[in-house]
Amino acid sequence: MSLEEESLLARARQGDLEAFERLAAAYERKVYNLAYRLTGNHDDASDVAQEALIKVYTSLGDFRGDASFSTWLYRVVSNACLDELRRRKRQRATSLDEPMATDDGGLPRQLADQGDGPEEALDRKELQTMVQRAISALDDEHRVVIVLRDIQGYSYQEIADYLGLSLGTVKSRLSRARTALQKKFSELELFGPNFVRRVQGR
Amino acid sequence: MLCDRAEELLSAFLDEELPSHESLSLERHLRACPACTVRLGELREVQAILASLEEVVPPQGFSASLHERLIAAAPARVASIVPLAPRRAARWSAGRWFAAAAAAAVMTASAGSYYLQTARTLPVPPQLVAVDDTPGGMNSTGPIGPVNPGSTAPQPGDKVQPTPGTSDGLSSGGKAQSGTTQPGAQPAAGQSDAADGLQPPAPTPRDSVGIATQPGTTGSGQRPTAVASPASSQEQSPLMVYQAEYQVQTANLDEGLSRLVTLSQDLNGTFLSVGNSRLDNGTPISIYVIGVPYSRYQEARSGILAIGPTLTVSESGPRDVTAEANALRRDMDSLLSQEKQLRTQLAAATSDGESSQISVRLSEVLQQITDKQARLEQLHDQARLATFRVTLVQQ
Repeated sequence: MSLEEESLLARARQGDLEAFERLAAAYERKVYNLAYRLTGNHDDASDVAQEALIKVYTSLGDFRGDASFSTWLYRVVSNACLDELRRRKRQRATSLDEPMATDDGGLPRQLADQGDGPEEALDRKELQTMVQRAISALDDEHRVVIVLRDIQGYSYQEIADYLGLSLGTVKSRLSRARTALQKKFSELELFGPNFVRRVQGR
Repeated sequence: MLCDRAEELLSAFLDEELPSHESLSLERHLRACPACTVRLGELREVQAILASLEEVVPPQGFSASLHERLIAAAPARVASIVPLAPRRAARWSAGRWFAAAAAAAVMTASAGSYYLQTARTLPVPPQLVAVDDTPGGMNSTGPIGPVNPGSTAPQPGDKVQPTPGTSDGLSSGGKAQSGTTQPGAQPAAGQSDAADGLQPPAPTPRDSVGIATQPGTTGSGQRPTAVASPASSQEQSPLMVYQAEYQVQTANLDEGLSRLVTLSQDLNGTFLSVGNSRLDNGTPISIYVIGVPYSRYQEARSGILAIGPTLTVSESGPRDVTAEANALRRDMDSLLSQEKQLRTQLAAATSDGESSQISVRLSEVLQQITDKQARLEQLHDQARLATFRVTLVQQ
């Protein structure tokens, strides 16, 4: 942590909002991406990411310096995102049958309907959406570990710290999440030698 | 190994997060089992697909709307940083100071807890203790006299001087200690990025220390950087540790903070943590921990004393920890040669049973190496930075 960041943190802890916002700016994008991958759409992601950052702000007094600030922040953010997802799920319990919200509106659920097969029918953006949809269909507990690991690149130990889980639990949830995704990808016929290349748009 | 078991391990194997013995037996299974090898490839593809997802950017207006919501959330925060319920008017004494610091430490760094542990056995020079039993606090007895830099060095065998109110303070300290101390938590732990600039980078991990030298068979993944030098089990120079805790009165907390920041910058030091709270009587206080290179601890000490009337709560050191470090190095040398032997035996093992037995012993030895190494690093961190815990008290 740079001296500037430390001094911002000191001021933020004394209630200086501007200092906090400057501090948070460095983490905003990462927090937003986590929220987006967990919720699967921009509206919810904005809300959840903001909730999480507010939680960081109101909990600054709990930061004890026994972990680095970024570790502490991601711990608060991961948990705030999970809490928010659970809260939303309870609220939505009545409207479970509504189609999943995506940014692109009514994407077909089955690629088979495309006739031409996935190679021709889907452009890069659609493929990215399909992958996101598969992630969104996982349980919260599996989704969060796979997003933290395979999209955000944290180590097992970091994930265990953030979520308050044992290493063994991280390991087994990740294994189950990957197996589940593998199944979904092959059901959707997303697998194939060119798939990764096409998702990347190369 | 059976396929069911192998499938459970494949995912962690991809991330090199398996213990070496499991990793070795899985590799053996994979060589013999095409089905599991295919499964591994599929999981690898899942990983590649996820890694190829593009980063998204927050929509326009995200920061502005966050700002609005933060303002709305702010009052809740003000409440949350004043955890001490107002009680009877403060009685001022070293013990009271200490109690306040201890209470505040609950919400600050683990560095604080470390001092609480050491403060019990450290002398509080009697001439520095101002006692004021009248309600209304410290102002009625005038400022606490500045510390004479020569008078506070701890003497071997010194005990805490009992002073009125001290027992109260120490019991609070004790509570905070049991509640917040993490075993092994030290001021410099977890702050290595801040401290890294202060000395040349430590040598890269020794090959023999990490299982990671064999691709695909990594143990715990992140191994601490080795500080041990392969050539010698002696420290190159004496390791000296100095730690102190002060309370400084200042007319203005912000000004006090900026003087501390400037001081640590001037001395090529670093700012380790910060927190704020209030004393029983409502006086705002801020607690900072700064670290400076050991060679400059005396300058830091005089700089802090110059900020305002100062009370020394505890001071530990200069303390020579070279002998402990050398003992750790000798232990590590012997463990490293055990490791080497075990690896030779492992390579020569002829059966699964034998090699998994050796693997288990190897992981134990590696664990001990990691532990010793962590302690050695901790000593190096402490020796690198003399740390000062400074409680600024609004005058």
